[in-house]
Amino acid sequence: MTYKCEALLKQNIFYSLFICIFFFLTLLAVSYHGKNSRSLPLQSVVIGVGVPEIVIVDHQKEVYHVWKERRMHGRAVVHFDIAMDTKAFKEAELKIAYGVYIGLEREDRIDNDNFMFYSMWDGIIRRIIGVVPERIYLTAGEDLIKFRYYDYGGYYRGSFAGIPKIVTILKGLSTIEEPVLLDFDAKFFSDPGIVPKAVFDRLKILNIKTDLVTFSLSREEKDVSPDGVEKMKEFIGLLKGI
Amino acid sequence: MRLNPSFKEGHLLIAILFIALLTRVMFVASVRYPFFDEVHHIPSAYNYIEKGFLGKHTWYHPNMKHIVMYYSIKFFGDNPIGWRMPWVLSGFTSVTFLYLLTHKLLGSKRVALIASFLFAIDPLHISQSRINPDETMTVLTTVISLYLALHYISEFNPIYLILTGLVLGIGVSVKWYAVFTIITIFAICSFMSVKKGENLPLIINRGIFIFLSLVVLPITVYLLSYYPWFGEGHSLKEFIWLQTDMYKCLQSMNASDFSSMTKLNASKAYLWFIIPLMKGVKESNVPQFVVVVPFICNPLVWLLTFPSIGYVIYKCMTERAISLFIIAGAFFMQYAPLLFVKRPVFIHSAMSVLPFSIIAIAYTLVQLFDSPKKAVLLKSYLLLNLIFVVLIMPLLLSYPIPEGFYNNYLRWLDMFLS
Repeated sequence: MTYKCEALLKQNIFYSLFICIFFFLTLLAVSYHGKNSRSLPLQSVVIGVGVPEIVIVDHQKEVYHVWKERRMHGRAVVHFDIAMDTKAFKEAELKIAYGVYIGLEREDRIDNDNFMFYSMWDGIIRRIIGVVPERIYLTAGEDLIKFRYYDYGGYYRGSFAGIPKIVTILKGLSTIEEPVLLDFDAKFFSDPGIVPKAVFDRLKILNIKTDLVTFSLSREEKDVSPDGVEKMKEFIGLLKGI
Repeated sequence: MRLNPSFKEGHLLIAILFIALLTRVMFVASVRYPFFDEVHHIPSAYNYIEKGFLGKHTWYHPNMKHIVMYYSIKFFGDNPIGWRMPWVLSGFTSVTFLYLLTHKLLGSKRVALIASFLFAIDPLHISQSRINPDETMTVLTTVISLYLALHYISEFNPIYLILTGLVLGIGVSVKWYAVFTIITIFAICSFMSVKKGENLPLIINRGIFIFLSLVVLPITVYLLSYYPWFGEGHSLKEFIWLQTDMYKCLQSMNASDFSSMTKLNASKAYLWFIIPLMKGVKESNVPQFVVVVPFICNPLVWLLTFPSIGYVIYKCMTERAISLFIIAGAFFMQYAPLLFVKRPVFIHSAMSVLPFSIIAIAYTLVQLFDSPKKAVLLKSYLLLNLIFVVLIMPLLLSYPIPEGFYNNYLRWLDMFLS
């Protein structure tokens, strides 16, 4: 091998190593940046083992303020509802994009349909796992596909402005490594197919960790039945170990 | 007194670059409102950098444009100059690098001057450098990266390939189309590396280095362009999800997703160089004024694309010249995917093919009209191109026309507009 060849070989090895190091450092940097940006709780409990903080609100939109007051950031939320509010999200995003640009306030725009969107936009949540009753899930496919959710067998996944949204049923819910925010709407329990004990057991089996569980009574909403509110109370009782 | 040829060529190049800059920057701030894609890009730039939020209309595309737009606004101010200047500069720099690329590729200043002239006055490239589509920056990264790669294969100096990888990384972070440039350059570098015929360890060693520079390095830059998004707490797993969802979303798009663009012959990439498009989109976001976003191709140039590429292939086969092979190969690598892509593609995507089409045309013209007797034909052709562009220049500038004036005198233009 000539001297020139050897020099080229060494040069290539040096720069190859440089690229590899640059690549792995970038991987580490973005992973660290991602994890470090999450406001993970100091203490979280496994469902069925301990009792998490429970907050009950009248309307869903108040959940946004509950999360914001606790300075949540970059969290994953498991949201139990009967709808995924996809259309409301789109409208809210459009308003917020231009509203912010031209300096409009937005606090008064938060409503029961779009509070989740504003939570995403404010960085409170970065990932949504939506759990809907089986009855809803079986008929929601077409609508979800229209909004560019894709069927992954057992769940639909889509992205809303870069934020992953999963829509599934209780059985399709899988283990989540990190502590999550749990958010229940009374409309979910108003579905005749939902049994509080089954929901509790599923979360317990999956070892779901949480530091905050919010419940929304969704007062004056047509899809909430008195039976649903009762079932929600029963579920709260199970959470508290009563 | 006879001028020194290189002195004359130098002056011609300066004149061409001046035309390139002037046509792209003149009256660029005349529309005082965000219009066309700016309506989405400006808020998205703020949302992305300050909140890591990708935006409704833009999440399925890479986001380098948001980063560029944001820092341009910080530098030039939140005004039309701040919104448009990076694209103006990209357009101008593309012309400069097309000259350098052609010269490096074919070793002829004459061909390089003609190519850069035709590119400088290309109506589509002019109009697209004045608003902010992704393609203007993709073209820039394509010509720069190929120019750097040519330096690499002539000297095998690793620095050039690292710079190529970095530029390609920026290209992919602007638009995924740049992947085709990566494949082209990867093929060229690998082929030249083997052709050099050195010992096996050096070939293997160089192969690994080429892979790292042209695949791993662009991925690294691409990942870094998502740094603000990771700041929202996202993990690498979610990053992969996002990329999958972006791909699926793009694949599932159809003409109805691009309402204002449907008259611009969506999904008809095969017609671009056969029936050059001369249309425009009437912008509705500018109150009391009519602003036309033109999508006008120069038929004098575009119609010569296929014959010229055919000529280049013929010469490539008879002369076995690598440089001609690179031109034809790069043309097809950029063009073929656009012919078969599922989602609608619009005429501005043709810009990624245009540099190679124009190099082929310039080469063919010089080859066929090189004799002093025929030189007058070549000069007449170039002059005709210039006259055509001067005539349509008012349309290319997207100058705001008062609504009353438009309705009284220019209503007939509607037949060209969507």
